[in-house]
Amino acid sequence: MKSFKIEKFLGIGLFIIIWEFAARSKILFFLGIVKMEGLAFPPTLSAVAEAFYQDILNGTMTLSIGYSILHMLIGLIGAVLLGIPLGVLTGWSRRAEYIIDPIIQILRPIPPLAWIPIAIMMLGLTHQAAGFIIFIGAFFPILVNTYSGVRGTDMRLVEMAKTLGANDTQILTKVVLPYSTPLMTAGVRISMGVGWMCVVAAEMFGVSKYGLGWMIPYYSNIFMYNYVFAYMLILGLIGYAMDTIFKLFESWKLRWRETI
Amino acid sequence: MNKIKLVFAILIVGALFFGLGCVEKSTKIKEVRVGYQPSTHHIAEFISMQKGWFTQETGIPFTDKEFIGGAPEMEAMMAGELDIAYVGATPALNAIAKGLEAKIVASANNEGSALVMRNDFNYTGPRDLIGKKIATLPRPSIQDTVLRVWLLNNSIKPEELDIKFMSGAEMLTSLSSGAIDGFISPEPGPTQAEMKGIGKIVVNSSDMWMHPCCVVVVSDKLIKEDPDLVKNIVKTHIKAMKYIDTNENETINISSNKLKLAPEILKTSLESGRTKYDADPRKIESGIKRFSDDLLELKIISKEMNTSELFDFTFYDQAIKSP
Repeated sequence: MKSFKIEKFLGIGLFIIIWEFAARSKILFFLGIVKMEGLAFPPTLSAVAEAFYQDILNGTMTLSIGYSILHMLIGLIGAVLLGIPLGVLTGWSRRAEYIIDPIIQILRPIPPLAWIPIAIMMLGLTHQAAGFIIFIGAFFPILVNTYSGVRGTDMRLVEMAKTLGANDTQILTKVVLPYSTPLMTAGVRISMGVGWMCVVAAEMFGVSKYGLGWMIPYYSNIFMYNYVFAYMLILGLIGYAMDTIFKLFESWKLRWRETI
Repeated sequence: MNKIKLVFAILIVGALFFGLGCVEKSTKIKEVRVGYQPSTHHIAEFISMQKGWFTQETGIPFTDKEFIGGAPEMEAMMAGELDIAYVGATPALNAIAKGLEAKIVASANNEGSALVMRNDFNYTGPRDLIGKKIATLPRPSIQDTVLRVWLLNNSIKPEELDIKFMSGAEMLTSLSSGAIDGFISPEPGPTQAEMKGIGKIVVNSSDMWMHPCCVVVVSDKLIKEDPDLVKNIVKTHIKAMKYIDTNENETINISSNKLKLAPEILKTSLESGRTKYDADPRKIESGIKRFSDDLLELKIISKEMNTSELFDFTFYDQAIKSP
């Protein structure tokens, strides 16, 4: 276990060394990948640290984290509230599946970016509009996983419950839902990842003056790459933290499972 | 065995890649790559390309590429993908300040933007905009700076407005849905908004202040490798700029095809006189200085840019003298 942890740090350490070497040696310029010698790309670690420091000091980064989490929560809560019931419905009833599934399958491949005009039309330039874009990314994994969980319920358990005199509601709440919880939870976890990845698309159309997804294109437009990298890193770190927390919650909540 | 083959394959491809790179560097210019944006501000480029004037004048093939905004266009130039760019002066200024090795050799247009408000908005003066949601193109855009300078000239702090940054298409959607109160954008955005009944033009940017707008930027590499070619490009550009004023119908047709917009929109836009076409780079020097000051104030650039860092007037001077 201990050596495993050291390896984790080794990877990050190596990554930092390669990055810093690439930035300081201007190797990308000499290899012809970066064409302008004077361009600060990639930025050095110290320049990225300076960007972090400046934007935390003036509150931009802290406010941006707050706004992005707000947008994420709106989108994710919406996705859970709609995705789970719809998934259960389509998984439980064939008729519902026939009616709803074709619509879902047509809407699913449309990327969140394409929904921006619809978000503006329906919700204006509000936090809900940003949340809606995240919802689009987060909704489908929850729906699909819930559907698969419900549909994959072991028939023997259902039969057994029927033999013991359980009615449909009891079968659904006492057998099917508990049985599909692990897949449902996995769906929520995937949705968190996908939703968080949609933050840039969700915030790029001027919903608010802050937001991690807003600051990246903003700084990219003014070629301040050390700030771009700082915001990309914080986006990655928060995503990682959210996933870790959720994983801990998942293993605690589903501790009854026997897994490898 | 397969692994060895793979390693060899990678080595060969790598050698070819770098080898070709070396060959390319040692030969003469084979092609000139031009960047532009879908705006009537870049009509001179459309004409020169459509009529084949660039190639006729220089004997070299030209290709062009459309960009949605000044920042990605300048990014492409930084990546060595463009030799020439028709682009807003502020993105160009910002890119040069951040290390882009290029110069402004001519002006592509002056003014040419307008403030559009929703139809039911009773506009009487700039103070009416306080507290209102006004959209503009993302910083560092010409329109953002033009608006900011105008507000400051009218003793209004830009922060007193709720300024939103978005693309031109999003402005039209946002205004029609009531998500914003107005926007300031380059042509043909304002004309489109008015003709579609989405909003009404309340102030032309020429009435805000006499500001420069888009410029022609040439990479230092091209200037160094073939200055004569650059002179001929500027000469063609001047010819196209004059053509806009003298051949309205043809200009409308060419732009309509390039921008995929109805000729009526372009006709209205051109006839409004909102956009001025004058290639002289000296006339925009002081305006560019004002842009530079604003970007400095916004901390977008960290040092004052002087004329010699931004401009190269020699090609314009040579071009107007040559027959």
